[in-house]
Amino acid sequence: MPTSTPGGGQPSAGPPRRRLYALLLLAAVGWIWLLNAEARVELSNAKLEAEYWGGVTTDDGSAALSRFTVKPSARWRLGDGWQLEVVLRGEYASDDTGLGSLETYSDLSRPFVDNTRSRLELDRATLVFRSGPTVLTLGKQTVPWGLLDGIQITDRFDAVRRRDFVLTDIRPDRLARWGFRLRSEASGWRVDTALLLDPTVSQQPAPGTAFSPRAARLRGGLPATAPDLPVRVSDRESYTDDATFGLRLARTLGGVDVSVLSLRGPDTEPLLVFATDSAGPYVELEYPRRSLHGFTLERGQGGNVWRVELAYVPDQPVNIRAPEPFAKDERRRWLAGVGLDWNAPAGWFVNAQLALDRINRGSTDITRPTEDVIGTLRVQRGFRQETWRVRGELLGALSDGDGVFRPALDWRGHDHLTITLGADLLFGDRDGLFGQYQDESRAWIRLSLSL
Amino acid sequence: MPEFRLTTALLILLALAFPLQADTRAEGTALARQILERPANEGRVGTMHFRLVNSSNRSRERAALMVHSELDAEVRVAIYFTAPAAIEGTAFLSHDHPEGTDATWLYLPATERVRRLPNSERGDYFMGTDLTYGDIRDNFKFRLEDWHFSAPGTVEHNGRPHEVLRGTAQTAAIARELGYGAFEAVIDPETLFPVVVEFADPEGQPLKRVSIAEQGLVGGAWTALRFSVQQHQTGHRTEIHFENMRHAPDLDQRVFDANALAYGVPRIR
Repeated sequence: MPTSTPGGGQPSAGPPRRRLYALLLLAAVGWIWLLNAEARVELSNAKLEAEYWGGVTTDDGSAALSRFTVKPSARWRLGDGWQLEVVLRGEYASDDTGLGSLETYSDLSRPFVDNTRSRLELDRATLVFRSGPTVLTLGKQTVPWGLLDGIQITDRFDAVRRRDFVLTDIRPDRLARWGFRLRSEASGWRVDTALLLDPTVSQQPAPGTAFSPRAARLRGGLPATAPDLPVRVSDRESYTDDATFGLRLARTLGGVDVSVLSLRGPDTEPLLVFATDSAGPYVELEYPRRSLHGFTLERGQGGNVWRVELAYVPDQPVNIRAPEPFAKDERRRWLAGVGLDWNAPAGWFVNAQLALDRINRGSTDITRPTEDVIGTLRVQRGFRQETWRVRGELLGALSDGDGVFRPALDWRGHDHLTITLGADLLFGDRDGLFGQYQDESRAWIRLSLSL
Repeated sequence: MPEFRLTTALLILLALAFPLQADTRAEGTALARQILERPANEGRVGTMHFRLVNSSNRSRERAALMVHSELDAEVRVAIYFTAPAAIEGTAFLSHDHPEGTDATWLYLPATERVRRLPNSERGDYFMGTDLTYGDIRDNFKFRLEDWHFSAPGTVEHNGRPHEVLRGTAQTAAIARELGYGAFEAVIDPETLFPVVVEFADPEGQPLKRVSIAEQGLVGGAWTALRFSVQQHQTGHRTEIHFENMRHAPDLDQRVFDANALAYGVPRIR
């Protein structure tokens, strides 16, 4: 991705956000004080998680990854049916991967502290009310729809972090956003509706870091060797125009769980647009609104579980190949995925998934392939009372023949400590989704402490 | 002629032994049926403490809220882990249908999703403990369709005579599925609850010993409140005890809804 201008196009976090946070904090403290006076506040859980993730490239042994993360969290019961949960995230990194760009964050979601190597932010903050089958969630939250692991067919409500590409332990790495979510039941249907007003979109890797885009398909068709242009992110402060709204209906029919869903909101991935101003030409990352309509199905069958997801996007924003740079259009897009969990013999667990992502060709070629076929395969097994776990994962773009192999070994012999050794070995053509990062193959260690 | 007398004596002995053996099998099956028909209750809840001890005596500890319901022979178990911090929020749910498809789900806070699990073999071990999924579902009962039973007599246990119940897996396939080839149980005659069970693996080798140190009557149903499982082959041991186990007759069945796993530990009055 071309170099971003210092400070990007976003105003720095200032008085309006601080005033809002102060108001929210005051309201929360006031309410808790009142409830406490009635002896209705109960700290139900407090936890501290800390993690160090460090690694070196397999190529030259340079520091690919060195990130320290601390996540304190607390949960309170506030009287009948109410619960408050707050999770903070503090990070420090000194490596080639970095902490990711903040240009795609709304002012309300930006970290409190943001230095070159460190951040402190509010990771989650939810106020939840439960009454019978109804659950109302207010605050900074995620909406994890979809069934498949790490393959986003219908799971496209949430913004995600892309600073580590897809090489995180849990995929996708979700970004919480501010809004409302209501879940309930009616006539055997489970209803889930969400409105996230926060215009934050998916976090991109910071320019020049390990996983900043190199393949032309992610650069509006421009190869990595093309001259750099400044990059700015479109304004992320429209809390109504850039809200995301969705509705999901689910039901169990004869042991099969089915759901249908629709959502509309800014595409969480960028569209590159050429722009100019008094300072000269630049590339703007736009996030046009789009709709998605989906269907999911999940069925258990003895030692197997089958999952199917289908999605249709009638108005997918795309970059097209045209005489003018970074031309754009809207196309129809279909996504389909199938997954299988299998309890294999001798205690092995196998997960296999296959997904197809197809964009209508139209009269002009788009800058990415019209069809992507993605496959994932994971096998894992526990040993010695689950104190050791070995796992291997293969993710690949079958259409291009590139991918990544991710072996890992976990030790969980202690109540509070987990140690993991692993590697991410990328391969394939340098213009491929995975192959573009083949020089970033790495071996790593992760130490996780929970108190 | 001596050979004729010996042969006749042997035949007479065999003829006498057969009905005796048939008697112990019939008694065994009858005892197993009584155990199976032990009263159950529609709901109980308690805090479950696990201590997992390896052969070097190093231990790991877990705590969870367990909710159990047995209605119309359908058994539902929900386990919400509350400690240690690494697994706090993890929740497991199982529906065991007498006829039809069993189902299990797992919620991992890191994924923020409830995941349906493939059905485990009954002999698969539950989350690193020495209890199998079958042990959890069967609740110290022995299914008539799995075993050939016999009741060879009584033994003295804690100063009282207790019935002995033996079982051998009906088929090799059942033995593989259960993880057990045979068992011998000492049964409390008053509660019809096993107090000691020795299991053998499908190859007939000693596998593990389950010892119930404390039983309690909860809502009219006898329940193991403190027990341990000692693995003979690995030297690993699991100790389990329940705190505040109580009858929950008006249990909200929504507790056993898969989607509820994501909402955290339920508040059950």
